[in-house]
Amino acid sequence: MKLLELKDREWTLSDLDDGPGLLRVDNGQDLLESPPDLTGISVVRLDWPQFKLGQAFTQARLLRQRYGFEGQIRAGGAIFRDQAWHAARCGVTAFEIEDGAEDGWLESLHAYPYHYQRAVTGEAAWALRHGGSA
Amino acid sequence: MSAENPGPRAQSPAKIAAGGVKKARLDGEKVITANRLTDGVVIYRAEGGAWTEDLSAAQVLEGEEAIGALAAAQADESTGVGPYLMDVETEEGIHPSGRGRIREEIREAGPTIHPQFGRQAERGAA
Amino acid sequence: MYQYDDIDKAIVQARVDEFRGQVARRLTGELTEDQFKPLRLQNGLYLQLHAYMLRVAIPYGTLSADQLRVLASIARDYDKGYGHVSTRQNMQFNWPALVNVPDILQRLCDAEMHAIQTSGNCIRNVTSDPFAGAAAGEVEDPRIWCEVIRQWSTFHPEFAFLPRKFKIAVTASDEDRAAIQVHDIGIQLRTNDAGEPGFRILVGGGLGRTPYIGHVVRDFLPRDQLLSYLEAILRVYNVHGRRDNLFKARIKILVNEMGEEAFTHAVEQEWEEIRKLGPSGSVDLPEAERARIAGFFREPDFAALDDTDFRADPDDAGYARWLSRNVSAHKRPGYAIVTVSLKPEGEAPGDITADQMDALADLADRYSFSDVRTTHEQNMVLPHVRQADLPALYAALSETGLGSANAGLVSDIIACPGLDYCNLANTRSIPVANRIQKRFSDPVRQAEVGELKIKISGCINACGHHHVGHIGILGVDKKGEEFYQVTLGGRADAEAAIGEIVGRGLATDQVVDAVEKLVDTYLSLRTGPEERFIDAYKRLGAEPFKEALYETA
Ligand code: SF4
Repeated sequence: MKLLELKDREWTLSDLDDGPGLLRVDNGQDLLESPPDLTGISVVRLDWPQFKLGQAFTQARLLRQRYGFEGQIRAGGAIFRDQAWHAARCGVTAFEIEDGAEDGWLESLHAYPYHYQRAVTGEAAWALRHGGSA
Repeated sequence: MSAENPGPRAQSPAKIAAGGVKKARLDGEKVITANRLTDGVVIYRAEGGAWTEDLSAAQVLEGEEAIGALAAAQADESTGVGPYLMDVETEEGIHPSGRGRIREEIREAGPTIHPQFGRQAERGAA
Repeated sequence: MYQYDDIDKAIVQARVDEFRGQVARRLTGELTEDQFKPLRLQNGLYLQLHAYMLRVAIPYGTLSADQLRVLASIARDYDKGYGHVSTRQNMQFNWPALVNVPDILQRLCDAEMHAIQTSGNCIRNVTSDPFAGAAAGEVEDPRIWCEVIRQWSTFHPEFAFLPRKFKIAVTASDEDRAAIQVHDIGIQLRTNDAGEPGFRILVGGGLGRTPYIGHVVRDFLPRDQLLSYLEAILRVYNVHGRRDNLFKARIKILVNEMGEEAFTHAVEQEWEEIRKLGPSGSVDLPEAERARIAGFFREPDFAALDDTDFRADPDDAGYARWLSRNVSAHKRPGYAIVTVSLKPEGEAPGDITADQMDALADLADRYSFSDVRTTHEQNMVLPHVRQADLPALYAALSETGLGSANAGLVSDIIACPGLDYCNLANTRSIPVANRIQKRFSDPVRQAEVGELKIKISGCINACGHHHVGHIGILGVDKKGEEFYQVTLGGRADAEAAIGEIVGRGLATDQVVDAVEKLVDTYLSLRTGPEERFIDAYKRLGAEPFKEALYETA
């Protein structure tokens, strides 16, 4: 397994490491009311036990937009490449991927030139239509 | 897949369907059926693992042999999508039977409301 | 109607390209079927009994004549010459080959159409009033808000993998022609006491295994805050909705398990949180974008006409019946709304051939500002027809088999595809519909019976909306035989109600007799022709009907 990390429009590939500062958040954990304890945490790993368990998309967005987490949010488990751009727009910045799979993941991550709605990343179409931010 | 969340395969090693979401038992004579990947056409598994559109050319299986062949069909997804065992009876040819009979007759022949479509149309023309 | 700009085009084109790649990956074996299935479903592609089925989105049921011609060309070139209007205003093709679907999507894309999110556990095609922009009494055209929701929900990154599918309907008048009370979210545009426009928001309606009427979670939401409010509802659902049991995963179950009050509270609280992001983080549309979208739904160039007495004594009895059943009042004098029935006797309800699509497109060009609608009752609508053109339009429709004068009558049956096409079906639906049509084929008798909505589903998934049929018919499997359960008193209008099950299931050959008995009972008990079946049922309750059904059955 490798770690594909996105940084602005760049990307890096590295070996997976579970160093200190990594927090694993369970897919079922409800972050609506309160955040996990993020003190000293630089990486939050979100989990997709099955691809269709989509709560983690909300978790990512809450971590970024409600709790202001600025470290790495990493996606692992059964998430597959065709879902990756959804996760990225919700604030995920790194993906655990199979060795040699990065080309496919990057292709999927960049499949869409525009987005309709505002999320964590990617300007909304309506903002572009009316000259930058609304 | 975690232990709490076994995948569909792990829960049901062989889908012995009587059609749609209905379950059936591993009793009696079976044929493996699926839809063809490229166009969805209904197909049946013949001896040796080839697929055929002709139910009368299908391989009739029972018991463990049926389960084994089904596992092989499931492992190869290049032609047949969603293979399962359907009930048949083999007096005078091979015909769907059991709980899924109406469904399998319609799959084999075509929609009853549109006799101009499906294999029933070709037979009608012949 | 809405027209794509470069951004819309680029997004839909990217989807076509993406799916072309995904099909290729499936064919080479890079994707397993388990992986491919959710991807094809999010493009409306099912695997049914005989073939794949492609469900094309018709956003809020609005088509241009040219788009209808493109659908006709797809039916001809890639299918078997027909399409099927579904109960969600979409068009389904029953026979496309997987290998051709990317080309079909390309053709749709070139005509500003797609099949995005017509299946899968995501926000589905938004539905609306087929008379939108034509009926009197609207606050404004509801399709403005449907388009706003379409854009917001398309590829919403957070809500593409919900616990279950999610359906939204929007109306803008007190008359509900979009069944908003039986949707996951029903939205009614209205004005408050101060005359300001806003929304009443209902959540948790739905049919299927456990039917519910939606709860009002907000009686009045200011118009410009719709999207943030929807986002709050969807987020609460995505976090708390059940994923352990397929049959308990819809939002209606969540609302009822949490309780209406607790659910509403959770939504309001989440909405407050979302609003704290302020304007720079807001998901709500700026006024300029709302106005841009609204600009596409301006009224067509209506002529200044006077109303005519077009209903007065036509000599042709068929035309007279058509006028009384299929022609509705328009908001502008001199115009009328025409329902084009896709329910001729003996055909599959909702089917329309490629030739009929082309003919209808021509008629839309000639008589209705090129505007065509699909309805959730599986018919089509020409919304803006001059009253003076009605005779010519009727003649032209009749010539192409689209002149059935039965809108709202006993033969205007909603029926899902059932076991003739659907992989999940217990029983067939369409043959039952056809037999009922045949029994009541005398148009005079149909007219005498008056409005009667029969709805048939081939399994408990209720795509045929049987729960809200005045007479509902549900197919059940009994040891491999087709049986049908009858419900009474359902309705999907402003007084929405779930029908009551009246007794044991009936065998195929008993169903038509049962419907006839119900109709005869109604005729013998009604106070007069102006008391419709559903009114009589409301007054009398189920008892007399049950008695009639089961005393000799
Ligand atoms: S109600 Fe059942 S049979 Fe009918 S279309 Fe829906 S899933 Fe299929």
